[in-house]
Amino acid sequence: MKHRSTLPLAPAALTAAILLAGAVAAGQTPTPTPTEAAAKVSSAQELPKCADCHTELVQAFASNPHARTPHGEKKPDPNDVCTTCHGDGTKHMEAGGDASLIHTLKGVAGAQDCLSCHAKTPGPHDSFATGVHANTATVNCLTCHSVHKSVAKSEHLLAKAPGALCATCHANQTASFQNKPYSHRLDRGGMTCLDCHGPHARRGEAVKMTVQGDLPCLNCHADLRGPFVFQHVSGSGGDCLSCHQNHGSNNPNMLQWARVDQLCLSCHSQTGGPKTYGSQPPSFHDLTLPRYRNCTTCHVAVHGSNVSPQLLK
Amino acid sequence: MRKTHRLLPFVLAPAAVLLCSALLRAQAIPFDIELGYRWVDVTGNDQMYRTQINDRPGLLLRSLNYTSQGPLGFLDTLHVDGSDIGAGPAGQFRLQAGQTNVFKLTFVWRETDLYSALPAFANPFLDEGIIPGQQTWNRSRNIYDATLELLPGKMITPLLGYTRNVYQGPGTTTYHVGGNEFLLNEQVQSVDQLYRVGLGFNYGPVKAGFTQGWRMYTWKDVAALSPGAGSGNFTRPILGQTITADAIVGTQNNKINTPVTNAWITGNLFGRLKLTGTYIKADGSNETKYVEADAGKFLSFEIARFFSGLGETVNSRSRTDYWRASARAELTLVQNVDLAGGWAENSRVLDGQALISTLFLNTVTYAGQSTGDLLREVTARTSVDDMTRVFDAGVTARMLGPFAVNAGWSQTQQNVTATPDAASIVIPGGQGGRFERRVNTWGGGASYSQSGLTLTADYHHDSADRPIFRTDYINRDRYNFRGVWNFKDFLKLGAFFRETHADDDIVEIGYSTKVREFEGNIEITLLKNMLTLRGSGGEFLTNRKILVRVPQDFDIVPTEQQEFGHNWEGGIHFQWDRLSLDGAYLWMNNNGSIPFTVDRVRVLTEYFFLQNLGLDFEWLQDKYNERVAFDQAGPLADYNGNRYYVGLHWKP
Repeated sequence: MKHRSTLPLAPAALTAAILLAGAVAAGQTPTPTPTEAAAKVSSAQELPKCADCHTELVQAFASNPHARTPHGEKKPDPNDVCTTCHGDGTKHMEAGGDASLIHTLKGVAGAQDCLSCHAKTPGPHDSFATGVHANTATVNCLTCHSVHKSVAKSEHLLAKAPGALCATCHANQTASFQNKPYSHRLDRGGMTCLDCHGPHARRGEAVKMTVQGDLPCLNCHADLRGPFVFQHVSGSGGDCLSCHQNHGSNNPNMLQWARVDQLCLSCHSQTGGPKTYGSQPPSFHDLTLPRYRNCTTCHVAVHGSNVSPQLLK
Repeated sequence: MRKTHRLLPFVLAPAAVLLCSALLRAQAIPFDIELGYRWVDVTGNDQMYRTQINDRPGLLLRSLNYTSQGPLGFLDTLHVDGSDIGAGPAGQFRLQAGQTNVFKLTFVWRETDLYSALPAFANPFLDEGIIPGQQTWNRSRNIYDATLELLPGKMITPLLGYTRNVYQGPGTTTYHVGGNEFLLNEQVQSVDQLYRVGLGFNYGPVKAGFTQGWRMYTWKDVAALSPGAGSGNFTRPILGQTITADAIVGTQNNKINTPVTNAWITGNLFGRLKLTGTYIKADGSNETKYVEADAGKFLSFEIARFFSGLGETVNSRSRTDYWRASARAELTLVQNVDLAGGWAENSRVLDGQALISTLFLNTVTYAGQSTGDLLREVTARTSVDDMTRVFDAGVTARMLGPFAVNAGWSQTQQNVTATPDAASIVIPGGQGGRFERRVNTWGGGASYSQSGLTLTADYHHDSADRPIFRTDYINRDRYNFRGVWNFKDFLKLGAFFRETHADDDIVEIGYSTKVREFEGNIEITLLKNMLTLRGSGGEFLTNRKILVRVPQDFDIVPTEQQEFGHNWEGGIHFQWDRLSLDGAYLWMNNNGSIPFTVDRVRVLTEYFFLQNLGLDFEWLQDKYNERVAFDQAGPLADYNGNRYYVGLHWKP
């Protein structure tokens, strides 16, 4: 198998270029760390700052998206954003750090503080008021997000990696990924729950669609998107989940049925009753012979074909 | 040859640059890297191991992470992370860089190795003890995605993006030709590219986005007769002649272009009414050329001839017009009580046609009379018109003390019109016509959370007037319960249950499905930040039934798919000074249509022998044991896969 080796280098080369430029620039004009900057201000003006006590917290906060969030035209300053969420800390400082005199964000009430900014800018498919994870005492912003103790590798300040985080409530689905022999590879370089699901989505829309309006399966399995001249399924006329399981499966190829012929015949039978979509195979398909029990031995282009009406190639 | 091995030095190069950067700035940087080597020891069915697990030996960049603290040159934010790059089977790399108010760049690369060689799948010779099946592949998928957002947070935000998805590699497949099926070697390469430009608008209470994309897709598939496969799957004579192939070569080239338009707008009126509208349009056009040349001894019942060769060309085109639109309103009635309602509709129209030209060489009648070459031309036309419309309405009361409740209703209307393709009709019925379906769904849920106890429950009932497919339900009930109790930092208990019943009342179809899953877990922290024990267990059940008409005698018989089993897991986390240990044992069994047992061991230890440098050891074991069942591989599928990883963990 030959591979073209140039393209995979792109991420590394791009990273290296940006980092090199950054490192050189950083070497020429050393930037004071937030703590250093805070210490300077503190000693010059004799006014205490959050960083005087919460040194590590403030230092780490410099890489936090909230520290870089512009407030109007004001350039963000990691030493000056604490009050945005925690309010005026003067009394807290005067009392020698009395924790009861500073506002902390906890539970659903704390989440309301988050929403005072974030509810103004949800995406078109998100809802914090009526969505699947609407802000409640059971599930709220602070259930999944941690502003100061997020996992470094996760986007959006998640408190844990997506798989472990979602497992907190969706243990059945996690068990399916972890235990069953055929499953999508989750985390550790593989996909995450968030590749397919929108945690802030509105009810009934918890599955993220592609930019082309398809199921998220086709983000990766783009070769199955079509359009095909001889389409097998399409929208109301079936989709990926008509035949496949999505998380983990006990069946090969993550099919809904263990036996391929039974899966196919569950639609491709005409037994009477109301007219249904799905043809009846002709009689030479002798299912007593193993040759015919795996329909895909011949009908190889089962997802759709451009050259064979019977999906034979 | 794995290309990611060659990629490793290039991914590690940033690490060196970062280190230089740190030295220049004379401060510690939040950098974290785990690099090592994995050994693999598999006994039993290696192909089954690779199909299910596919961890392979080699150099492995298990983890890479860097987040800048403060400005770094012209960047004031830079984040790089990666995991499992190298030996695979799935690795990813991500970069986020930006300057506040100026730009934000996100780049993601993900590689997945795809392997499948199932003993019991598409394998007519399983009864003879031959493995693996004839549908196999050993391919890779590389996805690159870059998005550049300019002037983030400003009133107008331009956006540029590019996604490239490359799927390629060898495999095996079969062709049915001349009365027999032949195993072919196949080489596939597909490239799916999506360019996109867009604008985001953010003006007071109104936000909007518009993106125009262009999808360009190419697929090339070359298949040729596998060496030694000329006898095909069927070795007995047909009408006195054994069907064999000397050569089969088929080449397919496919191009698809799809312009994609995406637009949305959302506005917040009076602080209590949120309106949202979305629109997607994606019209794809597909062009395919296929050429096949075969030689051998063949038979065709369609032309009632024997023949010694076949030349086939197919020129086909198809087009799809797709749009989706939605409108939605959310109204805050009183604080924390919201009403929501909306409409969504999508339409997909597919039109296709193919000119299939088949030249049968040296044809001979059943009686032995030579009739020369015979050309058959077939024009196939297909057409599908598919529309789905959804109305929904719901109410949510979010903060009734520790309670929250929601209730909703939706109606889904489906219409499918398919024109039967004369070229594909063998047995009339079911291949075309107009199908309509209406599904009403209502349901609701409630949650309670106080003093460490969280309970949630929801129920939905779906009621349809008729099926489109035989597996469409008429009635469906879905139940979901969750309970979690946290007792201080010591004990955490969880119980999770969900069940779905779906069936129809149509005696001629006799369809029913029952899916039930229960999972319970416990976590005990014996010594805070030092020793934690955890365990979980569950039960799953799936039972599908439907009547089918078997083709060989047209009898109507019941079929059934069963899955029933249990899973257990026990684990430990131990942390003491510079030593950490994570261990887990997982076991599950299935007593259904494919009876099997899975045993899994996960052990990871880490010891930091220097302040910033640790030694990692990982042992992963996966054992799969299948029991004998109809049409399954049984013990032929068994394997025991052990992986050992030794690496360094560096946190400067």
